[in-house]
Amino acid sequence: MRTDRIAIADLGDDFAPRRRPEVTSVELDGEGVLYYGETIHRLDALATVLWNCFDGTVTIGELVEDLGTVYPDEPSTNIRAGIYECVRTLGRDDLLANVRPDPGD
Amino acid sequence: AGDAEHVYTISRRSGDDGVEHFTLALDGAELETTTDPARPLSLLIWHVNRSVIEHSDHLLLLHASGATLGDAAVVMPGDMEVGKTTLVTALVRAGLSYLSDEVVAIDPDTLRLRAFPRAMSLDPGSWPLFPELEPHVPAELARHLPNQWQVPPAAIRADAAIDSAHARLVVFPRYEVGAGVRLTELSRADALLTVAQCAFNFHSAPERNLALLGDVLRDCRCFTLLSDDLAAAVDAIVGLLRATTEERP
Repeated sequence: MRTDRIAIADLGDDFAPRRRPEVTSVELDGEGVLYYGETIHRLDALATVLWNCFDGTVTIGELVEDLGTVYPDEPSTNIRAGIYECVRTLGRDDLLANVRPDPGD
Repeated sequence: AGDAEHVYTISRRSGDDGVEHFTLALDGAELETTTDPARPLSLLIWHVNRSVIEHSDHLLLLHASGATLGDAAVVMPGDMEVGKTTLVTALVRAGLSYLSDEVVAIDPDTLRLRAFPRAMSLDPGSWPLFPELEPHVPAELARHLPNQWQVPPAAIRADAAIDSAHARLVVFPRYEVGAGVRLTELSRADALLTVAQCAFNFHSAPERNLALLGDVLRDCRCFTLLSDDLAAAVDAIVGLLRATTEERP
């Protein structure tokens, strides 16, 4: 059976990350704290915004564009790098339903 | 008042070798027998504390001390030896009410803190700070006591103990030589992470407890406190508590 979880190394702009529904989260002053797999995870403000966007329909490319309008002075390369790093980190921590938590190639 | 549900007994007997043996029992069942005269009482205190924790699992139990100014509470979570008991003893002496020196419970139904107002267990390093609280123990009993002062809150003030309060301040204390008093405000999210790690039973209902801590901490300011000046630390905490009650009476 084909898995619908991709490897971290295969992430691309057309990929739409999806939160694991089993993850419990609380948000305090725009910063998130997640619980899954007997582990508590702390998200900074940007990661929290992204986490809330990861509904499986919004692609990384669309997020780069959206955040680019919010932060017009920030180079898109930086925005893209930040989003990818967030997806990789959440993927490695097995918090995304459609990303395999292994580092890949 | 009333009949006890459980009874601890400490008994003494001389062995065939002439050495004294001390036995701690609960409801007639032996817990431990030892030749150390101070061990049974230490074990009794530990056993009572553990039983309270085990039978209070519907509450979220924090390894923390706590005190209150009116209905506003300061919770001071932390591991052993960080200064929780010393600090809360000083706060109560300064006029605050007493929740606990070891376990502060969060009631998930009311979001209020519930007290575990056991006697404060002061280690020898803190004794010079509270000379007026030294227990007066008959000489023949002294060898049976653990190397701690057990100070009931009523020894400081008759009405020192309080049943519950609303959390308004979280302070993570640490004694550090040379620090003076250094308060650093934390984000509530960072504080939640640390408080969860200080909870005895977070993982018994982690989803509920994460939400519960979020609800409680939303009403709190959170700080780390590094200090080697007890009086100044007390002033700093009382000042913060007064400020929180003035912001939101």
